[in-house]
Amino acid sequence: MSCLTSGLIPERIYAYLDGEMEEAEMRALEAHLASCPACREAVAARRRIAEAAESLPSFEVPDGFAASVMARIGPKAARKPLMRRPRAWAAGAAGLALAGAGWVLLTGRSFSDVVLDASRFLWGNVQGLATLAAKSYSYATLAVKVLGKLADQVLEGFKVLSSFIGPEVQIACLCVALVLAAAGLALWRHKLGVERNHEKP
Amino acid sequence: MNDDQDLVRRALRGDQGAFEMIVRRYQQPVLNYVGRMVRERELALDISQDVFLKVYAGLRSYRPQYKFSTWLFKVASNYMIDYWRKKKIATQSLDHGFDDGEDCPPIQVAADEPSVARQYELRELRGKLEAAIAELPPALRELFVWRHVNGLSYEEMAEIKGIPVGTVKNRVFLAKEMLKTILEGKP
Repeated sequence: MSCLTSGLIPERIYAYLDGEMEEAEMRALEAHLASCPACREAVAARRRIAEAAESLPSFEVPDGFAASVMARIGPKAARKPLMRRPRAWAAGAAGLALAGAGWVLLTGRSFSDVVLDASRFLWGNVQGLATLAAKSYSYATLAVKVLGKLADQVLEGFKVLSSFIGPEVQIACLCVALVLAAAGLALWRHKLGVERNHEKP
Repeated sequence: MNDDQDLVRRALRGDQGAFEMIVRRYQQPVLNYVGRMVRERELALDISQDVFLKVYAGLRSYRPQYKFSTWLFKVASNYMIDYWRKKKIATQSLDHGFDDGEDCPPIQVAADEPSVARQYELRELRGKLEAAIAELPPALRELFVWRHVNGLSYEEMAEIKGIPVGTVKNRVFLAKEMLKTILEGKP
């Protein structure tokens, strides 16, 4: 075996230290090391660095580290949907019942009067909501009409424009528009893909 | 580790205790990695917290066929890449040749020293090594820390970085030779 310091590359030293060397090659290297102080030193120096690296002290994790992470996550993220929380439903119903009972006691009115007031209040809200829905519907209809007219105008504009431009130019414009749209879509998909792959091994 | 998969499943069902267990299990390896990448304890703690928040936010994208620790280190590594990019630290090309520093005097090591002296020497070497690691380019530092501090296998590192195992081995080798050269240059 040639001398490590004069030709044999350090890769072989690391292969030896990592235990990734063939049995025969390892025996030959060890025989060489026994008779070559320079190579012994080269191996020992690298071994000491590896030993020092593997025994580097750990960074001290403060006691509250995990708690701090969980505090930043917050309870909201883990909250179950309301439908899957019977306790929340029960608490809500109990709260309403208590509020009703408190109202009856405080006002001194009969229970039927309270129920009547509540139903009047609810009915008033339903009427208000119905009015709001009707108004929203009329506004939406108006918006559709305006947008329809606008689309007609745009279409008319295109017709006028196409009477000035020849069919070849029209086809060229259409092709350019299609290529631009396809390139934009491809770029967007690529960006999305990169973002998704970002976290995947 | 199947236990990890179970914790992930529970965390995805909204069990925050399960995610806290994941944090407790991996806080030390993540901090050891980030700490040696940035060399500032407070900053390392902040970044490690951010890494766990990213892990939590991206938990649904984790695929159980992969080892959880591999995925977690990938998230951490991506975070560090973004961090270096924001800090505008130039990443050194890994394709150039490397001077193996044979001109430098070798570290003097005797084979059969007394244990106390050896311990003292090791402690001194550790101090110098910490400083030398900081001088490595981030891409090499990361691989060296994963291999020798976090104890990851070459295969795991290759999976995290999405590069061949042979390339990882070469880069770790390059990092070690660089460290040797830096250490030999230190008084």
